[in-house]
Amino acid sequence: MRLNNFSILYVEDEETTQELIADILASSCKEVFVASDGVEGLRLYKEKKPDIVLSDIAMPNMDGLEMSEAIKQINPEQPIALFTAFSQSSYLKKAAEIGVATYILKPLEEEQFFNSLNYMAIDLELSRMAKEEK
Amino acid sequence: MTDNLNKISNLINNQENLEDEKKFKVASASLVCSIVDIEKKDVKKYCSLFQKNFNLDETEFIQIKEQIDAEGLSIDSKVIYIKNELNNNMYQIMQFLKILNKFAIMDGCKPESYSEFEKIRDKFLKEYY
Repeated sequence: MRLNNFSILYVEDEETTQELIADILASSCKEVFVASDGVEGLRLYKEKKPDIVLSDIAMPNMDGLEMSEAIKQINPEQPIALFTAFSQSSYLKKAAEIGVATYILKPLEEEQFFNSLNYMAIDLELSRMAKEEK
Repeated sequence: MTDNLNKISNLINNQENLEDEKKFKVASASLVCSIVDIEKKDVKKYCSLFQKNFNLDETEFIQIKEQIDAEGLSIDSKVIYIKNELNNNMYQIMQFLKILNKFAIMDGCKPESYSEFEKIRDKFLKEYY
């Protein structure tokens, strides 16, 4: 498991889901920061500079797409994964335009969930190695 | 991401140690077809991406697609072939997967396309997870 080298910002407004996923992440990641909407997520992002951002899309105050767009403006290379049920294709088109390329499919399937996060972790490791070599 | 995609496209299209560039293109295009299920009428829509990423024009792509349909090779065998052609180089494999990802999410994103991408992605990476 590569995730134990990385910190994650997890943004989800639904309390039960938030607790469940945060517990799963806490057992696998170096550090987990949890926010309940995009405004709090963006604030935590600026403060903690997490390696990976994982977010729901539909949330109050600021949704996952608006937050992702703001984060990409701060750091265009930031890996972001969005939870999606693929029910709203306009959201996903916008997500692709913003530069979000990883999705976690709902309903959550634990193996796929970790495979997707590990895919992002491998990409991060390779990017860091490439930067060190330069 | 575009820069990275261009880099791997150049690698793919110019790599000196490719024994058979055509075979590599067939395997690559075949995986893309597994993901997005391209019908003949949709080829134009995907053509610029195929041209850019795999150096395939429309005529060549249609020929390859017909070949793929006739051969019926398994996804596993295509994945093994591509990994070998990329010398099991993790960086190149990741760049290749980013190209596949781009096909999977273009035009919004269909759940079947993304699920298929995930299956292929995990076949490439399972030993590294």
